[in-house]
Amino acid sequence: MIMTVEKNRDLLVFSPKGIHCPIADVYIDPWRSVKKALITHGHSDHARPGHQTYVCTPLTASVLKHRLGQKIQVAELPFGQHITVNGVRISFHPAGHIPGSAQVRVEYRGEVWVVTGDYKLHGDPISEPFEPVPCHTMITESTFGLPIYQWSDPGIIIRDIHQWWRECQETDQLAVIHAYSLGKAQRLIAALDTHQGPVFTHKSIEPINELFRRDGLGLPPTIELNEFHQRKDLKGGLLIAPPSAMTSDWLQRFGPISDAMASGWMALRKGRFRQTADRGFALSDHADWPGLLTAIRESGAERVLVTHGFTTPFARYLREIGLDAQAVETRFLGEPAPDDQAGADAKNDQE
Amino acid sequence: MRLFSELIRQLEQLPDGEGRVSALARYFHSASDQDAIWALSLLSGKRPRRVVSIHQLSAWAIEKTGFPVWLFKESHRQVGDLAETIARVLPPPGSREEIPLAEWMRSSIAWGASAEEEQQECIELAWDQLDADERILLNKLVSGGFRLRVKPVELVRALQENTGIPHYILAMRLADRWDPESDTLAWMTRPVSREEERVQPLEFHDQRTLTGPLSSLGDPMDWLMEDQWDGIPIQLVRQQGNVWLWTMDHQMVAPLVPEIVTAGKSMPEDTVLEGVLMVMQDGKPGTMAQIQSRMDGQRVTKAIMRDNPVCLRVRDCLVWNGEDIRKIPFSDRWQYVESLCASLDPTRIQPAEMTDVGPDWAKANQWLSRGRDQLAGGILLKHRNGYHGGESIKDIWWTKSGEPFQMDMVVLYVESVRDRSSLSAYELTFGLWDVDGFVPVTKTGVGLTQEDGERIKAHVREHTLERFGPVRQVAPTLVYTIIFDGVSVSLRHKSGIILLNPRICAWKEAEEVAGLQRLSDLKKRFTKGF
Repeated sequence: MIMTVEKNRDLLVFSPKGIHCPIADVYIDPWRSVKKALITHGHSDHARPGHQTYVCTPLTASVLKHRLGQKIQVAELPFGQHITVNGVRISFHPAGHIPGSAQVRVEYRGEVWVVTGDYKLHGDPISEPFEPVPCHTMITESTFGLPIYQWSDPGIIIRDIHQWWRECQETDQLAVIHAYSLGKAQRLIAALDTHQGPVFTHKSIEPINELFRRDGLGLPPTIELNEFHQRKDLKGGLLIAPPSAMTSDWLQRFGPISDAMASGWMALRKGRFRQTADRGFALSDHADWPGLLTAIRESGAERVLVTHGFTTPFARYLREIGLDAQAVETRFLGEPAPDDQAGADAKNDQE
Repeated sequence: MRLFSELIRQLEQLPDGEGRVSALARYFHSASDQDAIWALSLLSGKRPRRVVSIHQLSAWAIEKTGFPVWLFKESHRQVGDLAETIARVLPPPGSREEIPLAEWMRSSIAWGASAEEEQQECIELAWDQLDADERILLNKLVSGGFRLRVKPVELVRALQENTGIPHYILAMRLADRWDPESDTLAWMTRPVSREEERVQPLEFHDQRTLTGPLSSLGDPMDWLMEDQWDGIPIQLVRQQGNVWLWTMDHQMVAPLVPEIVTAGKSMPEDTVLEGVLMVMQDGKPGTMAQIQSRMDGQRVTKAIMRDNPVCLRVRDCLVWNGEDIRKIPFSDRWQYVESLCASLDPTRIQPAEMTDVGPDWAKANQWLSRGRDQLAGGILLKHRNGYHGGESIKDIWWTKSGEPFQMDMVVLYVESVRDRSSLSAYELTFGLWDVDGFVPVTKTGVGLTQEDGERIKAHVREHTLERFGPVRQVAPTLVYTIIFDGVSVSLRHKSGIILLNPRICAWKEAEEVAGLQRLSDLKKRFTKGF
């Protein structure tokens, strides 16, 4: 069921520019230019160019300056602090999606709303762990909002990745993992055992590594791939490259390669078959079905608005277990539904 | 089940080739003997009987999770496969336990008799011990949905890698009667016996393409000729009450063609024939695609046998009644073929139709120039005094392909090809006029010159009607002569036919589209011979 949220009484409303707080006149992850944008994290579908002022966590601020240019105007709001705009109290709380990613808590006259942004409950070595934030109304994502999505223990997946890497070393193939350059790549790097072999990175990934290292995140040493590298220089190594590099020819000079895709979409066999990659590792930075339900339960929210992903069935299920839940039309948020192919590909990028 | 499910995952993601063979070899090496024989049985296409329907399994999963039915259906819509949907909606396993494949297969076979509640209990217990991939496997095994195909040649290569037993011996054993419930892998890979050595295929007759003129063969009176039909060279070995069929690369294909095996049982013991296995429908030879579809299959169903009935066209007799006759002249060996075949089912095993070349090469040339209704790929020439296995001109069977067919067709679609492995920059779809418009007949880029490339580029620029991704529909005014080796019927194509080995011959500059032959003309020309 898709509903339009009543615009007049709500603390947050869905406007054509994005999620809007009319009282404070701030937007959360808006996709059209606004005066003041609260940004949950630096992925391109959440942090778009063209806003007058960006408000985000300090780490996200560094990411935004790297991606959108040093000239943007950014106000940093660290976890644990708040700002008050026209009586609306605004604070950020760890979302566990990627380092620096935040849920946005908005409070006005005792009423609390939380916008989760993207989040996950499974731990990873570098992201601040997800923090349940008590609220009355929660606006949650539902990228993986069907019970078929239940993540395995990330430790097991990391072990499988090492095993595959070893097989590549034994057969003298270069191991290549395709992972989004912000977040997933660093999460992998932090979890990899560099005693097994050197880790190389694509040129779109290394700047983010540097940025995270400057912020004190413990990433093992990595080597940025350059045009002088030959096949022999990469022997026994593992290369991390963004999914966009998958189909291009530049990898061929390092062949033979075995490539893998690290994404939640790899959980289904269908997802693995669709990929051209040799392997699929279901390592996700989003909450799975039990994760979504746990987050909602722990927030204590009575009302849940569902965006991104399997909104309709997820909201329907929430209603059946006694919550006041509504699906908010996904296209409204500029996000393709993940069950069409183009949508799945686009999501892979952010996943 | 853990190892087997890992193998399945690998096989599902690996394309054909060595990777699959080594994955199989690794599995057979590490799996227990009893699990391995079950895996061999399942992968070679012996599907276990269904003990519980997939819908029953779904109902139990819904009951166990407590999810509403609509949510399960929604999940199924996303996954596209019930066995996988069930495996994934269930909560994670309470206790990870290894359930050996053999143990599971044996106990589930025994279930037929047990009550539904017992079955449910048993399945739910298993679900609680397995991860998602293993559950998918289990669900497919009990519901009769296990359909993974592994080519027998891959299985035997993997076993050979591990044991050193020649793959053709293994192929023969795999094709023989065995049962995973009573046999083991050790038995399957036992040392080769003397009897088994005797059913090995012999060298195939040396057959070469004649590049020079027919006259280079010498006196035409010495030669016999037959039509060269599409088929697979085969040796039939009648030995120890069995009939074995070998391909040139030592694949055992007897299980794929039970009709031939049955017919071959009437042959005398210890006899070896050589011939061509082909599809033969109402006395008309089938195409390569048809015989290939028989060879690719794993299970031979009645429908397959009805749609693509096979026949062995015998070309030679190598061993007769235990006597090796390869070193007697061909015309004498042929007597054995004819007398042998006289007592066999002629729809299944029949001698090739041979004829004298005659006093000169005129008749052979006429056959090659398509001067008669037969539409074979070419002719095969055999010397009357040739030996099997000899090396002189007379001992070799010479093939000569017929002249290609040709027809003028119009370009309907143009697709530019960026793939470096492709020989040309364009793939063109050619069509012919049917009742009320042009119908695509064939697609090729072979034979295009640089000049043609420029011409097509210009044509696309000026005459594109519509775009479909990388494909341009162009005005039907550009005409080329297409040459091809034959035509076969295809219900999947709009035109109802496929051209065999089509290539582009020449641009027809002044050709008027209206004057072109039509699709019906092409069909008429070819159905005549069939």
